[in-house]
Parts: sequence; structure tokens; C-alpha cells
Amino acid sequence: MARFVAKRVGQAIFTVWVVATLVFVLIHATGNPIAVLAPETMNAHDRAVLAASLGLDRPLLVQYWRYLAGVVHGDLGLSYYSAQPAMHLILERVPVTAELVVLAIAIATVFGLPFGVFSAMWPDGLLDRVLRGVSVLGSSVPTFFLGILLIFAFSVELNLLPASGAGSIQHYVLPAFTLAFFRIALFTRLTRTSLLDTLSLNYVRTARAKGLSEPVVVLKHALRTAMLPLITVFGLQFGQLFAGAVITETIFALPGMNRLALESLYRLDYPVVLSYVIVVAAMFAAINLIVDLLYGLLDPRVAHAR
Amino acid sequence: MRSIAAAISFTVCVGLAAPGARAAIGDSPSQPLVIAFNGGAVTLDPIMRAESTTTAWQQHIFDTITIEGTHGELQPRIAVKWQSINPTTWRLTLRQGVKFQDGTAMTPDDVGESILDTGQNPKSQFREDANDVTGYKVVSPDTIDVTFSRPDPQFPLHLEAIPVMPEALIKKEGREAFANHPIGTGPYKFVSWLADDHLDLAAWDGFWGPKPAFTYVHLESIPNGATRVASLLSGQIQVAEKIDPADLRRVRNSGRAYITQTPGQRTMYLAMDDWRETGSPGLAAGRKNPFLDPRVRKAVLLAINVPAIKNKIFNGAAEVAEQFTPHGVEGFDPALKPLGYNVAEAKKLLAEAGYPNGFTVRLDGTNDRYLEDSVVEQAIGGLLPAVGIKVQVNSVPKAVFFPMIDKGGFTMYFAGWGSNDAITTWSAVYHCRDAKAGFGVVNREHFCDAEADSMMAQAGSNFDAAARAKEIEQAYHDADRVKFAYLPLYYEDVIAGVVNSIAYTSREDEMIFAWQMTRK
Repeated sequence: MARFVAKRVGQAIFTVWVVATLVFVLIHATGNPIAVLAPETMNAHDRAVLAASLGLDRPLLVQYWRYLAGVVHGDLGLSYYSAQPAMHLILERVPVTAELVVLAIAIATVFGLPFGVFSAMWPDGLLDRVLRGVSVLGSSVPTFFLGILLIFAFSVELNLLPASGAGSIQHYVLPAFTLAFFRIALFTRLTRTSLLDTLSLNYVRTARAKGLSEPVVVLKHALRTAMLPLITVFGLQFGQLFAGAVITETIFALPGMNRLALESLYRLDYPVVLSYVIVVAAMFAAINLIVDLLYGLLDPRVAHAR
Repeated sequence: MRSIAAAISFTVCVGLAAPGARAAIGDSPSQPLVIAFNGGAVTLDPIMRAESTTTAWQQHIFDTITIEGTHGELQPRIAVKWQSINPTTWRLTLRQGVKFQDGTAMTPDDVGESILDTGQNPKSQFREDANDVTGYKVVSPDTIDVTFSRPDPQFPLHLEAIPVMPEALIKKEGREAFANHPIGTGPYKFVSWLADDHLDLAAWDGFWGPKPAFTYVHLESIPNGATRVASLLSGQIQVAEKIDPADLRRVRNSGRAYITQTPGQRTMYLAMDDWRETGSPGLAAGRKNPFLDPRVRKAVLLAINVPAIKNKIFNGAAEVAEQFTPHGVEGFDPALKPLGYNVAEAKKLLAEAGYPNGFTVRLDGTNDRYLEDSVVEQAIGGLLPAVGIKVQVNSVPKAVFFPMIDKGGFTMYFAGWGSNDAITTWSAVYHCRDAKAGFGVVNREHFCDAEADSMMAQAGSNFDAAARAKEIEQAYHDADRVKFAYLPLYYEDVIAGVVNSIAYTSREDEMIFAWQMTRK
């Protein structure tokens, strides 16, 4: 087990290094931060002074080396714009994104899981067909459209929920639903497929033959096995939402880390963008590790196979 | 699972109950006056970022030495009087009884040091407003003399950008620490903030001027235009800046809020390569550059239907530009009318210039910098073919666009210029390029008229305001109506949506100040 964890952590560190390097190369190929930072009227001499004060006059390799050293020490430098530690700016916004993502996943699970179970228990029944129709809708409505729609319905017309900001839990309801909508559809379809597969297995037939009631067969025996592939997807969705809530955070003006990363990217504030990428890469690596470990717990065969 | 369901139903109930239980807006920290901007301030260090939202947020805490009025007029603030005692000395009379928000009295040295800091700090983005200042002398407790390396008759105007900072405190704490809990002499004191997101303020009892109508103020960033409008119409916020033109009618017809708009000080213009005979990157290889001929430039201006752009794209929320200098700025010529839309005349000019069948050119512009920028670029691309000029529109992000055009990678580009000082504008945009002397930094098209430059230099040291305005008018008229150096198209409007219970008028300089809002 310890060797397994060590190997995984090693892989995660390698992944973070590859991503960090890729981002460094891509970002330096896209533009010149001084051109965006300096007021239009600033003359060449003053621009050079500004560049030097930010270390942007150094050769790229030197900048890369400093950046890697910074990553190792957890110090990615100061934001070009606010002169505050870049990593701190990102970490400060992690809770908002985390609350949003956890709530969204919770909503998706609360709806998606039972929907999927019902669909699998009575395949091609009325409920199944309705849910399948809705889930096609769910996976095809774009986030920005749904977000604005919800805002106009629940904020402007009904005046029930705030449209922007992050002051209280009310502020998270609309954005979390916006993010969850697609995942409800996804979880419904996945649970249905996985559960249907499991229900055709021999051990389920045995359970039924023993005379167990259908709910016990499905919920106690089949669902546990059917959950295995779902855990992978849950993990991936968690990571994806964490790094993919950009549009939702922007529409609802939530001060999450994705919105800051986007705005920093627009103005080529490298230290902030790089801090963000490191945080996201580390998060993905951690989630993958947790998923792997959970697999071992839920399915003893996986642990033995190692 | 059950607790989440409970949380959601609780949330909905609280949401239902909340609107009924409101105290007056702005009277308590839990019900502040909320003003939503298109973005947020990135720093609270008042000289580190020259960008309108950042400046607007900061100027609630910091007073500038003079201030621009709602319609562009110069008004006293910390300086109550200014007088040029010789060509290189300005005498400033300072307001008495001004204190910083930590209780210390503002001294003449604070004002002098703030001017020097703004003009000389290597990271200051307002250096050009004070870079000719050589020093200051305290004459009496309410008077300082500021000395210059060369005459600057527009200095009182530049003081609109210079904040009064507690220089001793900044030196003691360091700029970065200071920016986390800024202290100024302004009407509001800092409470808390999150960079790029929000700033909470409370009216300060020791302010030298009248107490603002709203005690508690929350400035916030709502980047999405539709969300800003929704938040305004749902009563969640009281003021929203930069209402999208498409939403103007929705706000006006809502019965809950109104629109206040005024022509702004940003001129949207076209610039064209004025130095390369051939090899201009927006033309086919080997093609002669047609824009060296002023007749071609004039033809382009005649072929663009600016009133249609104003009405169709901006729903009326823009003003057709008569000249590069915007309304309310010294040197604006009220007698000058727009050239007008005239396809026949444009075709005639093109034929005279040797392009009866027109030509093909690329138009470069941004897609994330100005109001409706890429739409306007498409419109120009759709209008010019009427006179035979085929246009390939190239709209790119500002982070790509500005480095590209700074290196000369254009033949024709569309951009904006905002300034309240036509002399500074001339040195940056029109003056013959001279990197060493710092002239023509934004003169990317290499326009050059040495005679006009010397006329403007003379204006730049002329302390007779009326004569100076005439000289500025003349120089710009020669450049834009004779040589067609730049093609000014329209001025962006400054637009805000405001709930009916609050009185407010949009400012020409794009600032939004809570202390200028009152209850109706």
C-alpha cells in the first residue's frame, strides 16, 4: 500500500511539473505583459524600468528556473497588478469555488442517483422515457444560457434569490444549480447504465432466487457494485468543476479562483495564472489519488491486484 | 442528503422573507448602497494602476489635489487655489483642516511629497502628470510652490490624477502593506476588500467636506452585463455602470430604474499607416500603400456611416465625433461639424487618388477592450466595400492587439483614446516620433508634422488659456481636416443604470462616486 501511494504521489508531482512547464511555454508565447500593464502613453525607457522591476527583462531560461524554484518553495511571486503574493490571491478564493462545487455535486447526486435507480428498475417505463428526454436537454443546454435564464426567472421576475455575489448560502443556489444541471443528466444516465449492467449479473439472479425483495436486491446488492464506475466519474467531475466553473463564476459574479484566473489571463498577469494552474493540477492529482484509494476500499479485488 | 434538502428549503424561505425586512439603503453595514462595476480595482495603492475602475474605487478613500466636475470642468479639492507665479512655478493654496483617516493632520509636505512620488516612483502609472516637477517648497502652512523643469500650463488639470497620500506612513509601512489598509483624506474610509471583487467603505466622520448621503457603500465587480442589469432590476444593487446598449430599453421600461448617460472623453478612431510606401502588413505583398494620400484617408471617413453605427449598434448611446478632442476638453472646437456620410464624394476622391476600383486592406482591432468593439469593426468592414475598399476584419484580444500594433504590425487599425488634455494627447498620438524625448509613444502610424509640433509646443507653454485653446484647435484642425492624420468616428457614452430612489448623473470621465449620489 505504501509503495502504491508513493508511486502515485511521484506520478502526481511529475504531472504538475509537465503542466507547469507547458503553461510557462504557452503563456510566454502569447504576448507581452508590459504591453497590457503599462499605460498607453508610457515611453520606452519607463517600460524598460517597469519590466526590470518585475524581472521580465531576464532571459526566458532564467525566468523559467526562477519560476520552478518558486514552485518548489511555494512562492510564485507577486501579482503584476496588485503586488500581492499571487498564490495567496488564488488560495484566498479557493473556498468560494469549493463551496460552489460541493453544492453542485451534492445537488447532482441528490437528483441524479435516484433518477438513475428508478430508470434502471423500470427500464423503458414512462419515468425512464421522461428522464431520458430531460437528460438529453440537460446535457445540451449551455451554461451561460441556463445561468441567465435562472437569473431572470428567480432574481428579476420572482425576486427570490440574488443574482450576483457570494455573501450567503442563498447566493450559491442559482450558480450551483446551473453547474449541477448537466451533471444531474450525466449521473442519471451513468447510474442507469451501470445498474442495468449489474442487474444482469449472476449474483443478482441468485439474490432474486433467494426470494429477496426487489428494493433490497437493487439497493443493497446491485447498487454497491454499480457505484464503482460512478466513483471515477464523480472524481473527474469534481476536478472538472473545480477548474471549469469559469463561466458560472463570471455570470454570477462569484469571487472564485476561476474568475480571477480568467481575468488574470486576459491581462497576462503570469504569476497569478501560473499559481492557478499549479493549484488545479495539484487538485486533480489529489482527486485521482483519492479515487484510486476509494476503489481499493470498495472493491477488494483492486487492492489485491496490486 | 436530508440536511441538504433542508438547507435548500431554508434558503428559499429566507430568500422569500428578506425583501420585506429592509432598512433604508446605505444606513447599515448589512444594507449598504451597492454600486456594480464591469470589473474590480486590482490594487488600492493609488498610483500603481491607471485604469478607470481602479481609480474610481480608490478615490472614495483618497482625495486628488484637484478634481474634474461632472461635465469636465476643473474644480478645487485639496488645492483651493492655484496660480502660476512664473513660467516654471505653480503656487498651490491648500485646504485647511484636512485630516487623514488615522487622525493625523495633512501637512503641506504630504501634498508635495505625493506630487513627487506620483511623478518619480518607477512603478507609478501617473508619472506623465508630474514628470516635469523638480521639487516643491513650503511657503506657509497652507501654501506650497511647485517647481518645474519646463513650463506646464496644464498642471492644475494634471492634479486631477494626483492623490494625496500619507507619505511618511507609506515609507514606514512599505507600499504593499499600506495598500492592504489604505488611508487617505477622502469621504470614505476603508473597511475591507477583495482585489478584483469588492470594496466595503464607511463614511468617515472627520472628512473636511459634506457628509455623503449614504454611510455604508459596497462597490463590487459584476463582469457580465446581463447579470448587472438583472441585479439592478431585482433591487439587489442600486447602481450599475456600463449597461449594454441592447439592455437600455429593458432598464428604461422596467419602472424600477433609469438610465443616465453623457458623452464620454474616449474618442474611437481609425489610424492608418503613414510611413511605408510598400510592405505594409495589412496589404497584399508588393502593393503600394494607398493611405499616404490624404484623399484616400478622407474617402474612408466619408464612407463610414457613423450615425448608423450610433443608432444600430449603440442604440443611440454614442456621439458622432466631430474631432479627436472630445467635448469638455480644452481645444474642442464647438464650430466644427462632422464630415458626414457621402459615398459619391468618397468614390470621387478615390478615383482622383488613382484607386477608381478601390483596394483590399486588413482592419485590425480588439474584441475585448471597448464597448462593442468587434461589432463596430464588422460594421466598418461592411460599409467600406460600397466605395470599392474590401476589408478583412481581424478582431483579436487586447493582449495580442496592442503589442502587434506597437510593433507596426498593421495598415489600418481601430482603437480608442481617452484623455482630458489635448496637449498631452498631441505629444503621445500626433507628435513626430522621438523615442529619446518620449514623443509620439502612441503615434503608431508615424504621422509627422514638425510645424504643428512646434505650434503645440508653444501652446504647451502658453499660460493664456484663451490663446492656448485657439492654438490647440488650429493644430488639430490642420492634422485631422487637412491631412486626415486620424479618423475620429465617435465618442463612447458613459452609461449607468440607477434605481428610481437615487439621484445621480453620469460623469464624463467614467468615474462613479458614491458621495455624489443622493436620495430622491
